[in-house]
Amino acid sequence: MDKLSVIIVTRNEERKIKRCLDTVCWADEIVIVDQSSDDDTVKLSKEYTDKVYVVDPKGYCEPDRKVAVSHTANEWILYLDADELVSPELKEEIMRVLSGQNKNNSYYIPRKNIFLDKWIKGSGWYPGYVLRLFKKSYVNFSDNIHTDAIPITRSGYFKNPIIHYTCENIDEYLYKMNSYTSILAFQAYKKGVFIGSTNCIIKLFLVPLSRALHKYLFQAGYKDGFYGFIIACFTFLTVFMMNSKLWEIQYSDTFNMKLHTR
Amino acid sequence: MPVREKLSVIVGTKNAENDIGDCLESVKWADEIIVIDDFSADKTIDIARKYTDKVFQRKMTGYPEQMDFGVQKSASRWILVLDADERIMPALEEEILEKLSRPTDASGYLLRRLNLVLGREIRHCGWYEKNNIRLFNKEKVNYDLRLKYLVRMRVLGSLGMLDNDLIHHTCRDLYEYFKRVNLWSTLNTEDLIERGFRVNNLNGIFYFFIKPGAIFFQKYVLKAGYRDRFVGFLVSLLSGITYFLTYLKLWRRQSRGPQSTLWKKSWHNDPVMPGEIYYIEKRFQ
Repeated sequence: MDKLSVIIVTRNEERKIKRCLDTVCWADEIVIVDQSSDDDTVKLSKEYTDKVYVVDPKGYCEPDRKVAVSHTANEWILYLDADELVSPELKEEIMRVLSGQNKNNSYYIPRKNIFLDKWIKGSGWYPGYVLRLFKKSYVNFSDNIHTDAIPITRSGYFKNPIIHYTCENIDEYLYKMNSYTSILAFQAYKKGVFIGSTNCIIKLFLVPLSRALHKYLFQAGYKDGFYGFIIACFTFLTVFMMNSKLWEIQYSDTFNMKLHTR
Repeated sequence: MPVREKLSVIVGTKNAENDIGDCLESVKWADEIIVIDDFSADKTIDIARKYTDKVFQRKMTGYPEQMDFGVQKSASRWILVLDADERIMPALEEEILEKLSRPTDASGYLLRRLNLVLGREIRHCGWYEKNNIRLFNKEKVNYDLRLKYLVRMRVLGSLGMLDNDLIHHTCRDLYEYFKRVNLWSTLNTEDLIERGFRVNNLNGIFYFFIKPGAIFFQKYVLKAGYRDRFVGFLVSLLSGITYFLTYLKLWRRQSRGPQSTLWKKSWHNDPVMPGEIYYIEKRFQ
């Protein structure tokens, strides 16, 4: 049977990290890369594993996946976020892969997204496959926000989901949304996306609206009732925020930008 | 010539090291400066100490209570209340001194705030109206302490008017603006809960669908927000969104019961520039 390394990239997750680590303590090795948390994340993590590495904060965790992988000893990697957890059924399924019953080198795992208290089935949130279990020499990593590792060979699909707690309350969701949209706007700016007087109504109103309607009507957001409606509204808000921040970058009076980390 | 009334300035702060210096510099002329700080994690207090000895630290239990604490500490009868992101320009300074040096019936003065959003002046959208009492006689005007975050004042007697504007740096970029929208809607929710307001299936249709749209229409069309160009549109739209979020948070709180640790939540507590993101910093002025 092959051995498994679990990698987690964290920042200020003291309220969630224990819940996550409790469900993967059966793994052979846990590697945690912490982006200089201000709270007790590192202390809590050390109760579970010695391999805790502290790096500089980057605003999102994707660039540090490579760092985490470089510290692992085993070939098989399970990548988790601090707000996710592994159910017992998923553990069994992973065990079956490790014992050599399946021949693929990487696996997509479905994700059960919990928004506030509810499991969201519509809005394109389920199954929402993510590439999380893989042999480290068979994938490439991208540094972009909200991207998966890219498999080199054909990958398999899991049946049992990872459980993902997206947020506990609305303040937290908005806070995350605000941070992510700043990053996304900056990336769009570097790519050369332009918002001018000709397309501002499209970019700032029609695109957000069509995305929201797409989620609510065509991806069956209405199935989740009021929760689906909230998600559609937040979709509108996210796209609107992203594009208005892009506009802000373009039209700032003195064009004086710098990347700011603490 | 009659003696000029003495003036105390009260400034409420939290994690405002970027603003507090300029703010206190603009009110140096006052007879007394009192800074009430809500346990800032940054250099706010050190900077404030350069201007005044009267720096108090007090846990924020509600904005009116915080300011009332300052009023009790003040030595003079006339009070000027400021936030760290507000500035007194020389014209307003002269006007205030002139009002204080002649006898008056007024127990307080209404003034207008000129909000700067992304470095642009907001002169419409309903944001540029004389509805703030910042200069008042503490014997005749006091705060309504029943409200936690919104400000309502009890006034005995009549109010005068100040003609010059108070400059308010509402936000310097959109990151900060959305952060404020998040905070404002939480604070509104707190006050709605305090008043015992509830949303249900019936009035929800009004509060989730109609009211945000109506607020946008009011600010953008009726209050001529369109004359502030794109920033006017942003301000109007985000006002509507703030109302939507307020009722959404209220709905959430109703179904979950009280979570009264509002000010401990890290997503409100950190300073305006958290290191968590690639922050795009610009200087608009």
